[in-house]
Amino acid sequence: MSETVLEVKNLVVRYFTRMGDVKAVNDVSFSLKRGETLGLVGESGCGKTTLGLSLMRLLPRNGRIERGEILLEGEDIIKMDETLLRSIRWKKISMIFQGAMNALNPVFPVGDQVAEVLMLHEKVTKEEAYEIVRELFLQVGLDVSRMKDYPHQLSGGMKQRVVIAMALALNPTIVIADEPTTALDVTIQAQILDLLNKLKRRYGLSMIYITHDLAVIAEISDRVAVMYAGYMVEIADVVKLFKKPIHPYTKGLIASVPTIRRAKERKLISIPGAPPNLISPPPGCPFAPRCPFAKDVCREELPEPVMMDGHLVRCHFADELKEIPPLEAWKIVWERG
Amino acid sequence: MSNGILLSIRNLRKWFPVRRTIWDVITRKPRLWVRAVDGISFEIREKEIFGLAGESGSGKTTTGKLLIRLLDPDEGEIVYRDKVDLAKLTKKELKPFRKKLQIIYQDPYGALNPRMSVRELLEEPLRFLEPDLSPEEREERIMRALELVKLTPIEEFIEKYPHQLSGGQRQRIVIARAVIANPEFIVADEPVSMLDVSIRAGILHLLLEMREKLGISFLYITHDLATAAYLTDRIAIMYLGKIVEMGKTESVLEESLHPYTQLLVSSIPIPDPEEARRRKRALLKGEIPSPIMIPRGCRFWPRCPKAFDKCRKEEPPWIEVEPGRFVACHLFSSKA
Repeated sequence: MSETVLEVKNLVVRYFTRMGDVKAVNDVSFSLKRGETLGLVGESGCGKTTLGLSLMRLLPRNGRIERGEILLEGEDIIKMDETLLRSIRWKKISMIFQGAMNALNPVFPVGDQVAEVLMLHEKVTKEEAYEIVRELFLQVGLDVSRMKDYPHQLSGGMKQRVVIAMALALNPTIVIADEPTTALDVTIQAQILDLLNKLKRRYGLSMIYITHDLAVIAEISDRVAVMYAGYMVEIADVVKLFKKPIHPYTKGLIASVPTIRRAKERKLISIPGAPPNLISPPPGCPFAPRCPFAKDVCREELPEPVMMDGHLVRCHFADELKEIPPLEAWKIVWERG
Repeated sequence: MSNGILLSIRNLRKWFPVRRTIWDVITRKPRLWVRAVDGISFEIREKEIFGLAGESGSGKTTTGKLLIRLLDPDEGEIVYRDKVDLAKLTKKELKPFRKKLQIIYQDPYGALNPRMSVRELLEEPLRFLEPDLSPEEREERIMRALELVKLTPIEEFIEKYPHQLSGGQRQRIVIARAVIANPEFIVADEPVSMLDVSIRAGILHLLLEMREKLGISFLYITHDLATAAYLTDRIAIMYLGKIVEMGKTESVLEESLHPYTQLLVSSIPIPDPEEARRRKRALLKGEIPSPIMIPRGCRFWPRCPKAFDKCRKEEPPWIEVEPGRFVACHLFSSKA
């Protein structure tokens, strides 16, 4: 469990647009152990998908990794050429893309599409490939007869299972799952989360699970990284993070989620304002404009990550704030009268 | 005299025809129907926030559109204040009611014309719904609406265009447009599901405030039971065009009676890692069937862990297990 399979150091990613450079991922460092699920949580535009794509070296044409290292079992992916990359992509690190279930080719049976992944990357015969596909379908809970079906004959949940089968086809060490349940109903989401948890245990997979949904994070992660405006503002064990969040943004996120039990007694907060424009972000801490604790230093100086009670936090006042419960951190607290 | 009930919906039904191909016509295949809303009854009280929850394809959005006659029901009544059946009115007769009935959609990006400023966006409904206002009165109403949805200082927002606003600010404009002509009832169809989590509570509270300050009743349509638990007074759970359970929100969600509600509730992820790991959760098997091929008997039986013989044959009755608490399930038949 302690073996590190992925280590990212000081990663910086930019998109070049006509409006200016988008600072999508800023000085991000983290590691992933074998068999571990790291939940990557943040709101729209925080850079979580960009980070996932960078790990696969699949950034769109106008995106570029500017600095940093991505060490996959000790080897830096950033330095690899296209041939070398093709030997690790899907085999060592694969990805369930956001909305991938709608990107299945409509004119081929889904079984053929999974088999194709195998035949492109491995020296297997057609028969062997289909044998593996059959096994994969069973593993992801699909009836083998579904291999002959076209995408339009499958429901959303089944298509997502096909996409998961594809991501697992080459037996990767790491799977990056980008919002794999966002478009699905909660009952289907529960099935998919259950499936991913089972697969993870069975194959000892390491997973990076990207989502905006804190409740899903609580269900599936071992550790959590919270992103804001391209920075990782807090990384901690999932139980610690929910019990005692340190960064004001994490506190805010946790205090803004409604629960189904005793819902009306729960106080909720909403964080005033909106995330900064990543083309011209403010100097200093990116969260300072929305932070209830921001002082002058926050608006001037970017805080460095510090280790605090097992959390890695990027906040000037981590030490002072660590004991403050999430709700007390906010001036606007909603109480349902 | 009013009995405190704003809308009384009885046996509402809406089926959509499935398009037939020329071949279907030649071979005389029977016409198929999507039974989107298949006979539902409930009441919305004055100043009440009533929740309608269910998975996609359960018919909740169609219900919302029927209530304000954006769609015409095939059958059933929508009785307004015990006086008028909105379902029977012609388009012309409906006109005076348009002002009273409004809708808020999910997508704050698509709901606003990008070429109109905030002022124009708010003027538009007034021009249609209250054409007799003087320019001064109109301006005052716009100011008041912006204050109500807390887009202040007003000068900072009034000349802006949608692309200059954040998602939350846009949804506030959508709400301001809905309330500007003083409606009595608003259908809020997933109003927060496209917004970032950290600003949702603010929008939910805005709806609560509209109820308090303006006395508006709401139908809150959602697939998200956690926000429904927070916001709504009573709730109905829909499955394949029917309401399976209804009552006080706490009661329905915390002491669910119908097996579908129980499984739906247990599917919801809990934002507490320790509790999430402790609980053993029951998973709902399979997926919601097509509303064209609705199972005979109880529509939930093929997925129901508690189904018995009767469920496959007879549609369960609508049972009031205690005052105001309803369920449609044979397990409770004896208690009727």
